[in-house]
Amino acid sequence: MKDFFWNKIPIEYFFLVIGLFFGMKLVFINPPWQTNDEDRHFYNSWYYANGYFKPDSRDQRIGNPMPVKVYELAQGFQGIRFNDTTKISKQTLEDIKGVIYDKTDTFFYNNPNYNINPIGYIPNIIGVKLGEVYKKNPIIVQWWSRAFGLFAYLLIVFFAIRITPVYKNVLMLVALAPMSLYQSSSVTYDTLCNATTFLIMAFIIKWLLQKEKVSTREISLFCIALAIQVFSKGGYYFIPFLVLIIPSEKFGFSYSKIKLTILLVAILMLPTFTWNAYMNSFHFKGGKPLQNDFLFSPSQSMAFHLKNIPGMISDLVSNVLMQGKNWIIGCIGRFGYSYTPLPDAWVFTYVIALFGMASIDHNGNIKLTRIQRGISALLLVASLGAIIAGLYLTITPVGAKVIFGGQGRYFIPILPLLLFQLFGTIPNNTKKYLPLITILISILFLYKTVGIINETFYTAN
Amino acid sequence: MPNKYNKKRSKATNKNEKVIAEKKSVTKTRPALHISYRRFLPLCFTLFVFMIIWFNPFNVNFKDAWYEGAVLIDSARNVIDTNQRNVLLGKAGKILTEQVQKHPYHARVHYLYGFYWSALQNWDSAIFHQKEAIRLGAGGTVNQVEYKAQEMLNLALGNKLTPLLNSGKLNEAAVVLEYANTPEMLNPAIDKYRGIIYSRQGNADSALSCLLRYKVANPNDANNLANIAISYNQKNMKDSAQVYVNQALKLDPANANANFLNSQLKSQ
Repeated sequence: MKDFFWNKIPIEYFFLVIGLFFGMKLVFINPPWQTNDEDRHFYNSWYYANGYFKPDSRDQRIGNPMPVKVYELAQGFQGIRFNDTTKISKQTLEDIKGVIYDKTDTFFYNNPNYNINPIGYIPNIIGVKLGEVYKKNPIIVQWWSRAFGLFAYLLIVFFAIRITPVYKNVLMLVALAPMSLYQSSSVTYDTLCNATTFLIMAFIIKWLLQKEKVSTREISLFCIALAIQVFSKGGYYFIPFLVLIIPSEKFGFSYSKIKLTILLVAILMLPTFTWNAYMNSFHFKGGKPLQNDFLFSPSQSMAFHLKNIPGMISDLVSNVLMQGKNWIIGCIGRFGYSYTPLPDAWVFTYVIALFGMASIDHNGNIKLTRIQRGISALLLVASLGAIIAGLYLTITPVGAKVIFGGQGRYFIPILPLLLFQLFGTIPNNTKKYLPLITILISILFLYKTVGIINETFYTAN
Repeated sequence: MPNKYNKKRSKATNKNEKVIAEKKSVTKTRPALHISYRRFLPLCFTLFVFMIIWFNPFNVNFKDAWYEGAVLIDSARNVIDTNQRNVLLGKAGKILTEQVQKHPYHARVHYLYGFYWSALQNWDSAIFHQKEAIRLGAGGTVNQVEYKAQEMLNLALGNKLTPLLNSGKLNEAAVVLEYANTPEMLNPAIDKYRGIIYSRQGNADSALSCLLRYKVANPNDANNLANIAISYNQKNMKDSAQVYVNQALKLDPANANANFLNSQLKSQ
């Protein structure tokens, strides 16, 4: 293969540079607390950074003390419509940088997300801690928190791309998709969830292609990545089971698939028996619900829909047809509480690029068997089904037909598994150009993303 | 480690490569890639599914029944023709009645149903369902319904109470007011109407206590300022009454109560 300059440097380094450059731009250019739920994730990160690991209960309220200025400033940035008359002035941000919060001037914040564990926030917590050392200004601390989330994301995905022998371009395109990088440049547990899912996929592809046996060290790292992923965000339980497509001989122990399955199930249940059990031990009553205008109850929803199973299936399919495009846009690029999307043509092109790349980014050394493809497809269907059914039963009002609150970003962790269905399907002899194409696509789309965010959220000054 | 021998060998290899490269340029040795169409089937299938989702060729578009009802109410409000309006409201009522019976636990459905009763000017039913919306829905962090429900409740309450107050049915008005109270959410408007009832009953102290409390929440309500002035006047505190009359007239120069009291105070 001819060595062009882009082939001389491993692609993961290009990933790191592009991710760092545009990620840091997003850290600062994304207006404060504008990523979905970022305000509440920031409150949680702040709590953990300040040692509030145990929520307190006061008069049917559950939470902890929070500096008044942190809350007031974060709330001041909520509900902005970002039309022509209501944008954020960059000068206002400059002025706010002078605000210093006092940790003794607090109020009791009734936290609707008091029960979320700290694992998913670890990089953000470190950022808050260091940001406070620099200056106790809510926006500056938030920038530090965002930046550390980004660093953790880039580092984990860097290793994911590094260890996988093929599919590097696909992983890079998924990880640098505008929405993926936007999420990772925000204060949210999605950062670690997405990054560790990509790492899990990378491990599985590596094991699939390698000739040597899988080492215990690698299995341990895989388990740690999975543990971080399940603690960060539930709902992606089927992806790690892709490990079952790896031939048993590659593991140095007997009954490997049975043992691995038991191990995976045990890890998936870790949050239930640790953090959730810890939270349940307090027997809290009351608290502030996140949303109360409808009744949300998985058991009641299930009971309601089980009365009409064909109707439920028809509703689910109709939802995919009706909301599918929005979910796809949300998965590639839809930003902030104002749901500002990338133009349709851009999203469409990116999806086509992903499918194309997924079909040709391989070295032709391995051909998946039908059983391997079958398991992989089954896990994809189960993952998509679990997410959609989960949305339908948990965050959709009881008795509603239309899935409520489903966002495309929920599908980001499933994206590598979806693209894996196309793995090794089309042979190609132009592999040397793939890194260049990947790099150019990433730069072009992220440049456009930064431009759109700057244009939509800020006034000219 | 590079040494003399290696250097020579590498030069020789380069020469060989050059020769082969030249030959290749003539004979075109790179084999053409023969790919079976079957290899493209997974990609084609994926693209097919993607296109169906993206372009939605079946035009699938559906709403939850309660939002269908809301859309009908909204359409009815924009229609001038009374018959057409009644038909639309009738359809909305049918849908929302069924939905409230089916899902009595949804605050949002009660809010929409209360909205429907307001459109029909059935204030009792409107008050009942907005109260239910507040009872079930108050206290959420996002998509709060209680503030809009309170707005609609106060609108219905105002429409229900005004004729009662104007016709002097103060006891009946007090009962309505007591019924409209929402323990789950503070409603300053209750204080306003309670103050008016007390004032009409001649209980100026209680009236002032209620009206001044309401003023904290709504300092720019000219009607309330005029009512405060009336209560002060009842207590024979003319100076305080004049202060509030002036404030009311500053906010609303055409306010009837304030103008009437102003002329009374000036003539005394």
